[in-house]
Order: sequence, then C-alpha cells, then structure tokens
Amino acid sequence: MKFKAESNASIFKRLFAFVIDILIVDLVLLWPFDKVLSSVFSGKISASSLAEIMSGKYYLIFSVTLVFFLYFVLFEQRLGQTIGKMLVNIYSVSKQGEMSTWQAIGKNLFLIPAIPFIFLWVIDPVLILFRNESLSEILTRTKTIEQKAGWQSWMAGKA
Amino acid sequence: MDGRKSVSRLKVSVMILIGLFILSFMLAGLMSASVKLGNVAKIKINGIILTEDANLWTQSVASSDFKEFIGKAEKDNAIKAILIEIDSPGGAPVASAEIADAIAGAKKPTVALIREQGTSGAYWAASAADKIVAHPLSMTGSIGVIGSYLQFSGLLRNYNISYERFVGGEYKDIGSPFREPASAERQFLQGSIDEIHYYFIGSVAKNRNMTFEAVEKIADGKFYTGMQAKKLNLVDELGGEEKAEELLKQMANATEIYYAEYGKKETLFGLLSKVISQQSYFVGMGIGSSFVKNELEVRT
Repeated sequence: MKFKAESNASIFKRLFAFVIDILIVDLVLLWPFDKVLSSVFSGKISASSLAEIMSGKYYLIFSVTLVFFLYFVLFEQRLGQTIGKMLVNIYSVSKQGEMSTWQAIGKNLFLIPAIPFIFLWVIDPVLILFRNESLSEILTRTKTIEQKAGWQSWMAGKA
Repeated sequence: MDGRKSVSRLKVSVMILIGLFILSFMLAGLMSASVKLGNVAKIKINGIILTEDANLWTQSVASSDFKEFIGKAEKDNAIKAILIEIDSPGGAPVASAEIADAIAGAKKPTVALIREQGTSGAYWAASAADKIVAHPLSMTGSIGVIGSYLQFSGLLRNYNISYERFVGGEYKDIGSPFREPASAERQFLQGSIDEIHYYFIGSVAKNRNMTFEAVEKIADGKFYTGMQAKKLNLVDELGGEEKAEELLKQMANATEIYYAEYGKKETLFGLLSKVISQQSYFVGMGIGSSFVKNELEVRT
C-alpha cells in the first residue's frame, strides 16, 4: 500500500484507534462469552463447575486471546487497517511493500498474555512515546502511518 | 474506482467480523456446554444474626442481605430448592424473626442444615425451613431470650460519685448503668423479654407444627445436642450434607445437586471503607469511653 502524502501516525490517534478496537472486540466479538462469564460472577454457577472453569481458565484466556489476535491480524493483513484505525485514518504498512501474513502476526504478538510477549506491554508504549515506533514494528519492519487527505496532502506536497 | 474499492473493503470488514463472531460463539458454546448451572441455592447463616452487617472483626449475617438472597433464589428459574447452612449462636430478635419469615415465605422447598451450632435466633430461622438436618453432635435449641447490662451504681457509690437524674418521662433512662433499676422498671424489662420469648415460642410452634405448650416446655433456654433435639422434634433428620442433599433431591425432584452459592461479595473498596470507618469510630469515641459505654442488649 503506497501513499503519496504520509507521516508517522500520532500517538493520540494510535491510542484512540486501539481503544476503539478493544471496545469492538470486547463488546461485539466476545459477546457470546458474556453469558458464561456473568453466570460465574453472579454466583449462579455451582461450586464444582466454578472449580472446573477456574481449572479451565487457560481455555478462556486462550479463546479471548485468539479472537483478539485474529481481529488485529486479519484486518491489518487484509486491509492494512483495523476498524479503530479506519476511524482515524491511520494504516499499518510494511516498509518493504505489501504486508505479509507473518509481518501481521509478528507485529501483533504483544496481544498474547504470556512471557516474553508481555514485556512488550511496557517496552512498546515507551518506544512509541519517544520514537513513534513500537519494538514489534521495528522487528517486523512495519510502521503505522497517517494518510494525509485534502488540504493536508496539498500542504505536505508544498513543503 | 474508489467507490468500488470502498465497497470491497466494507465487504472484507464485514466478512472478518462475521467470521470472528462465529468463532467466538463456537468457543463460548464449548465452554458453556461444560458448565453446570446450580439447581440448589446455598445460603449461609454464619456468625451473629443482625439486621445490618457488624464490624470488620465480627462474623455476622445481616437479615437484610439474607432476605435479598432468598428473593433472588426465588426469582431464579434454575433454582429448584434452597439449602440454608447454619453455624450461628443466634442474634438480635428482629433480625432472627426477619430471617425466619423470609424462609417461611419461600415458595421453593427449603432445608436447614445445622453444622456446629444453630441455637436461639439461628434455631428460630432453621425452624422456618421445610426440613431441618442436624449433626448428632450439633448444638441447637436454646429457645430463650437474654437481656442484660452491667450496673455500676455500687462502684460509683464507693468512689463518692453520684448520678444526677433529669428525665422527661419516668422510664426514659431505663437500663442506665449508673443506678439500680426500680422495681417497676425490672417488671417492665422482664415483661418485654417475656413478650419476645412468647413470640419466639409461638413462631417455632407454628413453624414446627407443634403446640405452643409443647414448645414452651422445652423453651427454657437450654441447648440440645442433635440427638436430643431429634427426640424433642426440634429437628427432622440427623446427618450432614449428604443427608441434606438426599432430602433436597427428593424435594426438588432432581437426580443431581449442584449448588449455587448466594453470598455477599466483599469488594476491595468496601473492605477499605470498613477499616477506615472502624478506625474513625474508635478515634472519635475514645478508648476510655468504650469501657464506660454500656447498654441494655437483647439477644435471642
């Protein structure tokens, strides 16, 4: 994906897009889990079943992570944008041309709540703050850019 | 051209969302298939029975909470019966009566399981259940009322301290620890205690299908072991949780029992505010005054 006028996406737009994506996954895509989880927290589930759920908590974590992970990987690989990114007009692109599946997977590994990926929860925000680029992006040779439209493109062309 | 591209992007977005939703539905379906929803509500009466929660260090059950749990269990279609697990020495008369009334008013079958002790107000509550199960060694009964307070008038006299009394209404300072109660006051206090006692006896008699006289005979405040209580018709069955489950299966017409525990969930904020309010209470009141404070307290 090529853009005539582009620049690194601002941290605020990235953050806003990420929050929107989390809300979409949480409220829409994970809605089927709502009934099971609300039963757990309202105490309707019998003690033995609660123990079963707790022992099967890895299943729950795995399922939720899988949905989150696929959402980001599929949208970014197929469209270069998640729904959150669409709203603020920012894109995830490869520095080498088209984004490959492996790049999309690699750049979203931080969503997996396991060591060593959880270290990225601290490293990535710090790097984005100072370099406007996360470690995941550096390692997968991708970047998040902002497409300038209308007068912004024109102004960028002038400069 | 751009319009076509937008439509195609929209199509891909919708397809991804639908695909992920189906995946999420299947994963949640697998999980809920392995989950069993409780068919019997388990509500505990642990500690002193009060109308509202006691302080942080006293184990208590609030009748207001208990009524709420019974109400929830009644409304829940998955719940077929209610088990009330009791380990309590009793408590305040109004709170005990409120719990007993809530149990008696339940339309679903109720079984009371007395563990270590279910005496006085806790027995009052248990008596309202359809069936009572107690361990042969459980302590139960103790159908009586106590009202007491420390009286310091002799001590004050020894230190040449006098109590100056100004009241509007003869009985306004009844139960004051600084003077001996007058004979009429003693009669009044005893009369009130007797009234609560008769109400207690009447309630137990009604709940257990016994005559008032039969309960009155054994309502001298004595506690009974489970074995003695069974002979006196104060409990229906001897045993523990297995026995209670057996009864619940029959009453709920269920082949298996899965408990759904109804209890108050302690939040971190609630715990912190309790600690802070407790500290404020002691600071404000002063340690010295806590020794002097003495009020007439009535317990069942």
